[in-house]
Amino acid sequence: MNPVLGFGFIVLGLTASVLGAVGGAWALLSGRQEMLRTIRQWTWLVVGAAVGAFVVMELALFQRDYTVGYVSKVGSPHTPALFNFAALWSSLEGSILLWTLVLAMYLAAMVVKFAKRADDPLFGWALVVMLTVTAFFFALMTGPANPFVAVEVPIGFEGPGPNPLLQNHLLMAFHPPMLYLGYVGFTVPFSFAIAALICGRMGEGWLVATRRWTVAAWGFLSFGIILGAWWSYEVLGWGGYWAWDPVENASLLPWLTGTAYIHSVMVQERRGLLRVWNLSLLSATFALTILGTFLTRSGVIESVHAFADGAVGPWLLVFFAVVVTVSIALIVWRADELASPGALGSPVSREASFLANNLLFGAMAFVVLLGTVFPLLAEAYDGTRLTIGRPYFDSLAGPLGLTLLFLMAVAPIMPWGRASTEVLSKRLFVPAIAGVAVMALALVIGARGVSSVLGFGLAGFAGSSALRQLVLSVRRHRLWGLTGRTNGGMVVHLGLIVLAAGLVAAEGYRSDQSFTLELGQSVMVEGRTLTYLEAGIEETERTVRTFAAIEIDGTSIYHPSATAFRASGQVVPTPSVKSTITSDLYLVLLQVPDRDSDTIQLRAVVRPLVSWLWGGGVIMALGTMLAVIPSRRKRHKQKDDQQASIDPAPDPDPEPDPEPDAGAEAEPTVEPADG
Amino acid sequence: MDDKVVSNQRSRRALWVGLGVWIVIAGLVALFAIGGPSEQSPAASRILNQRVPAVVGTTMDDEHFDIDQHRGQWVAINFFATWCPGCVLEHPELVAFDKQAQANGAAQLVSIVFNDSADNVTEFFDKNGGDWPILQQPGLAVDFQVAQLPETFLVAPDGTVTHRFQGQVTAQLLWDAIDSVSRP
Repeated sequence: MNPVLGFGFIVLGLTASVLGAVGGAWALLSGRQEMLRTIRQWTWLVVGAAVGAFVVMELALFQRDYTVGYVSKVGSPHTPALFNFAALWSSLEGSILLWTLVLAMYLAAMVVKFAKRADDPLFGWALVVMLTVTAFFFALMTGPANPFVAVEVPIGFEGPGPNPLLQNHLLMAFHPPMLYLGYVGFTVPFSFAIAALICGRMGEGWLVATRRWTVAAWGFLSFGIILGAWWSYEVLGWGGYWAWDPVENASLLPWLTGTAYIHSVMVQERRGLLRVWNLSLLSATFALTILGTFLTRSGVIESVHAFADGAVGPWLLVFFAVVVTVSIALIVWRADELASPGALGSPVSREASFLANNLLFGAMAFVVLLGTVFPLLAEAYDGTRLTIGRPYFDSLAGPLGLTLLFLMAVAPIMPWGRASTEVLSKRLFVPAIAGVAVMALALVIGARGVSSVLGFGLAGFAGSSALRQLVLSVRRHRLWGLTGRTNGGMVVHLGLIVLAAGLVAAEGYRSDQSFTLELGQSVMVEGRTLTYLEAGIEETERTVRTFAAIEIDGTSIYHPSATAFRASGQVVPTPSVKSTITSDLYLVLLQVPDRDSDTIQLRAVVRPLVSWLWGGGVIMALGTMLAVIPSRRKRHKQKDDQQASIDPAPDPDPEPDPEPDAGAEAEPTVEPADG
Repeated sequence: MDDKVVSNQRSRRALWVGLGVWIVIAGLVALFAIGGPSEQSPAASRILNQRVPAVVGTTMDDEHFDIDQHRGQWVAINFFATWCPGCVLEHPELVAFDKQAQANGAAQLVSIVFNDSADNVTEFFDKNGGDWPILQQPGLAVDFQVAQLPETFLVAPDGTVTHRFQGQVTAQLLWDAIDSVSRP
């Protein structure tokens, strides 16, 4: 029953999205308004089909209905409810189903949000693009990634359950949906960009309409990536959080181009510049989410992520090629109309620093992409199999990261137009002092190494620069001063700076030791005494968990363990982490006690400031939320021009400089802060 | 200069730039299309192309085994348990591989017991044949990040892990893998 019902929903979704896209395009080309309005009905049908398929799959998982092929792969009577729910996205076919559901949710949100613009061709084309993308994902599920294949299983069959690594930590229930909300979210601005190109409405209208959607998608993606790093740290037991694994890189690539985009878009809103560049960045971001999906799911690149399954690879690759070709063709076609009214002007200005930001993020994306695909290049060239390891990425990411911190310190205080030396020195004085103070403090505490100390100093510099902006804004508008894109953005900057400081410390000052311990034996690790108290085994229906009790400084007891899953035979080490705000002690069992001996091999990793990474992530998420709340000025303004068309002239002042002074075009006023 | 000329120049430049970008990306796509994994691609892991983790200990026959003493020779490390159906099925292949390896001296097979009792293993080998070193060290499964049983790793004569096979192997598969590296 479930296989038929589920597949029925998928066929319905495919049909409705194809009919909606084709019908919509036909209506738009022939100018039939009546027909255009029917897209909405098709859209709701698509949303219903995606929700239906999702619900059927969850029900099948909970009923342990092994006649559904996917359930026979990832279902198990012993999986706890939460992981059983999350089992839907623990393997290939289900993850495509989740992707489609998220896409359908965005589709629904679009239809609701832009209800008043049903007759606007720009919105019409955007819907057509969205429906086309949705049709592709439904098509994947009718072909190589069909989750509802009907299978026959012997009586008494029990499924193996999801990959044990994916049922070991709560984060697994949240990391993938969060990441998908980010990946898929970029489809919305992308579809508006394509729509604008098709309609030839090259103004800033589509940018403004999708501004918040882009920021939200970016926020989800950032948070999803950080949750993934946290999961890796808490579950995988190798003492790290980021390995430059191809699949990690695949999530980082759209993040880098997306980050570049949300910055450079402000230049276009304000000055109408960089139009081609922004369209290219947005198309690249969307294309990279597809490429990432391809890399994760085709098995083309060696990676620890377990999706490897060749069948969907060619489909995704073709789709990627189509996206790239269509985007480039449209941009070239409209190149003439995309000419910018004017030039960038002074190299010492807000717009120029946004450009520098873009170059930096572009360089990062290039470095990551090159490192990710280089093994393939080498193999195609002369058959050598090689892996690009951490040294390559670390050696390039370090300097780029430090440059980024410097830009984050300088850029936010730059006025639009042209900055005078006087203004710069006045505004940079306090942050620079703070940076030097942080550097001195780091040296006093015992930080050594040029790049690390420099990293702390730049973090202090950038952090106080962001704080300064926020303080000025809060003085003027009270708590409203934290909302809006600029101010929320500064909160995001703060979060990223906290994260960066954590990275500098955790990477620069790590201690990693292994010990062989007999029962009762103690060792000293970085000033802490670890005593091996006892070993134990816990057996459940599902797992055999072997643990060692390790006492730290005679007070707290930690239990690093290794869990063997009966169904698959896989052993998953579970590290035990003692986290404080200043440092983490991370214990992993390398060799577990067994029947014959209680001897263990224990790995103890000490890394400072790891918790800052997660704290920084939370601040970034908070900042993103603040950024999508309109700022106070914006709210007043919106009331006035709620009925304005979707395509206004470039917004003369979309997000006011919190300090309306000293810019070339503004009248000099006394700065309230240092006056 | 007249507006139309400027506009034409711009269009033409855009065409060339667009074409250039497209060709680069098309090359990338072609690379992905042809650069896929070979058919018997070893599954990926953080182990591959790394130095093999220490495999040292007393075998079930009370002999000392140290993988470092097998430098100069290929070593196949097989993770198994008697309760795992795939392991039972692949056993005759391992017996064949071991026989050939002992004959030509090119390789050494070692098995690591996973979550199974010594009695079961002894009985299993008595019944199904096979005489190669067997270690009982559950920690090794963590070191090698074994994801499912059976799994087999190939370690080159220089101590680098070159292949990882998840699921059943055959003697032929192992020799082919060894040949692919030994005689490029």
